[in-house]
Amino acid sequence: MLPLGMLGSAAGCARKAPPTEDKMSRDYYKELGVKPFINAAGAYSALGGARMRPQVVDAMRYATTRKVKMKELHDAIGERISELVGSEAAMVTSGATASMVLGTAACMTMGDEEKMQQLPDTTGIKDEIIIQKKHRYTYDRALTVPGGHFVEVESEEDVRNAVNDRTAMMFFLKPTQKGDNIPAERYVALARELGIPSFCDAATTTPPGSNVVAGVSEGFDLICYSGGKGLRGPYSAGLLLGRADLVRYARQNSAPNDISIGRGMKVASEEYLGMLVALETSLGISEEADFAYKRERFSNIVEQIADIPGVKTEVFVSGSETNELYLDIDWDQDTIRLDQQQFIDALREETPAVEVRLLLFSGGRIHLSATVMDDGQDVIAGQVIRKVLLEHS
Amino acid sequence: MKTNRRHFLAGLGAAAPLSSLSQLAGAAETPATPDYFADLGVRPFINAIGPYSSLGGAVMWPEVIDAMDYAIRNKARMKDLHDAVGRQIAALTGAEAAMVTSGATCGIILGTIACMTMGDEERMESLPDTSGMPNEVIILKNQRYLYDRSIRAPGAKLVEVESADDIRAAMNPNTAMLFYLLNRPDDDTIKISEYVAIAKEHGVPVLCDAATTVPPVANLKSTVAAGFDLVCYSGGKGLRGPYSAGLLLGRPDLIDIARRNGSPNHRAYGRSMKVAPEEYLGMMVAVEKSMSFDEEAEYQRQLDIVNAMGSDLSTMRGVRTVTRTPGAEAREPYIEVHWDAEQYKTTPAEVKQALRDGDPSIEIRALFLSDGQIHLTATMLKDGEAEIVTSSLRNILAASA
Repeated sequence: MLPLGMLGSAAGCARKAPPTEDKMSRDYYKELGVKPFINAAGAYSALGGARMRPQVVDAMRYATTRKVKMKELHDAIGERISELVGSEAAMVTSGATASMVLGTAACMTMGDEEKMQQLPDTTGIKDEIIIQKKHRYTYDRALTVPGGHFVEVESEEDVRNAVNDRTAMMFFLKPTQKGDNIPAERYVALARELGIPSFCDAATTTPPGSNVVAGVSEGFDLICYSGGKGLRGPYSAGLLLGRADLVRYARQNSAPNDISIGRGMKVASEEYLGMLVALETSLGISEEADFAYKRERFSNIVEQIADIPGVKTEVFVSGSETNELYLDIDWDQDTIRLDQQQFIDALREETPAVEVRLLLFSGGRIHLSATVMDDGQDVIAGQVIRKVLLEHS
Repeated sequence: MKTNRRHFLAGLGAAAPLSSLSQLAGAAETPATPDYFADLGVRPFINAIGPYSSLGGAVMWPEVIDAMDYAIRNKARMKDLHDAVGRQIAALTGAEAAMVTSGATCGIILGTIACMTMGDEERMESLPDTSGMPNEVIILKNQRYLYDRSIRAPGAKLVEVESADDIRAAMNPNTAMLFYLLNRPDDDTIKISEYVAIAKEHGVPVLCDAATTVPPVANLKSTVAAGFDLVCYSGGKGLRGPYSAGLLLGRPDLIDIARRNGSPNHRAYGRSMKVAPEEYLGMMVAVEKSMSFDEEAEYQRQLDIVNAMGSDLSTMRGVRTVTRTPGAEAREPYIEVHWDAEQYKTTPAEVKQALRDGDPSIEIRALFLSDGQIHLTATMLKDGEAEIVTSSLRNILAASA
């Protein structure tokens, strides 16, 4: 067995082949029959999330070999993150969904041990969550996990009428495709006036990382972000930022606290540290450098397919909250006999497979993202796309 | 993409696959890893208590770290990865099916959900509201413990029983599951075989929490073979896998339902309990490695260390140590330290606190109820640390004399 200190102390040394070197080179996916693929779709959870930045991976490796007490680690990193983003307090969660569950549990229990122990039974516990009808979405499911119930509103007057002694929280989603009846600024002001904690799910509003700072400054009592997507942190990590008391309660409702409803949402110390480093790095990176990297990937893809008759490509910046760069690929379906869905299916059959995004509105558009793409994968993806398009020309 | 140990150990700046990404940060090379914990003011400590969650769990096998490195560099579709790793872990443990969870607690939650919903979409969607579905979980009164809280997390209710007759009487159409906690000193109210047999008689699944029962790793196979419908394990402790990982083993239909209720399914109750691809693969390698390494040698290493600590402490007048070697489950040798209360005017709680407050900080186990008894283990001790533990302890005792 290797001495426990060895991993750390060996860092940086050019080591002579250790006895286990062969084992270290295992190609696990080949052994397991897991098909490799190139992710040109984006940092989706089902596709393994984002590529962590090298600094994040490095920090995680650092933490795997140096054990510290979790409470001290959580305190210190929480403090550092709140300094970085300008929030009163901060915690690392096991993802944006966990942030929503824990934030809701915090607003419902307000630190009362008996209430924390009792969830999801909400007898005698505030369990109503005010939400704009236009903000209902797939992931609002997380708010019902600790026992929350929705009260839908469409106007300020609705909010005033809805508030009662069972109201636990006012929820806000951004960005929404359907818009807001009550914009963020008014919603925050209203929540403050009515004395109800406000919570904003801003999970998908990065990159750029600076959006976290901007989001915090809007004044929600709690706001959450996904860690393993736009911020390129660990896959199963996220942020919960906001009021010191509420973040403290959220921590109490989480791992490793024994009585909590959230004990299953464990965050390893390497993920805790990795999340901090991901945030630091994201805040230090300019959007231009990020875009330059992606433009290079796209131009290498386009180079592989530009000469195919009937093919059109366009690189564009998405207009919403997140400034993300996409490559749009389109073709004349009389020349290339393939509809969008067939194109996607054909790409999945190739080796390596290529995953792209199909946007269903405006008659179906094929979008490529370079967020999760390595240098070199672009050319391979381009060749696979070329093969599929030519086969149907 | 080839990966080897050097990439991980030498830092990633020079390693080919990610080097181009580091340019994003405006750096040609990744600089040496900062000493993050020193920068943050988080103190190192000596762990003479064991791989507890609150202390960061076990140190992972180097092979596990390597596998995690591989999965970080090589992306796979989560479903493909979950299928393949599940098959492999099932084959290794003799289970019909397997999944990696975010820890033993997650295993209990998802297992309970599987038994309550049996895959019914409407039921899955309505949790933790359990109206219209079986939500009673039978539990032996002497197996109630701190972590049965997680059975209630998705909305289940606990029904306490004390005998086989009680169990039969408690069975009704609302019974969703029987729970069994392994590794209890007083768990022979009813034999496992009988417990399982009654469950089968009534067609109700049994979930066994075996989180803390390895080492010895042979318990994995024998517990699976005991006939439980589901068994859960902690990944980041005895198996030395990732901290936020665990195993759920058992019936294919129940594992399939448990998976549907977990991450990354969009509207699953358990979406928040995310498991990273590197944790998924790392857990598989932890099982492989745990099943193949020389457990006896490791046990002997720990025994030698605790015995050496015992001999050292026993040379103090009025101090007596006893080596304990637990048998079948949670096989971790430790020493009890007793002292003459007339001579040393301090309590186990005070000693524990004094060691914690010392420099370096040391964590030990103290049994507050018994008379002057503390425990020392060697699982997490690094070379040279045992001596620091005993000399700190001697100083604290001497100061109280």
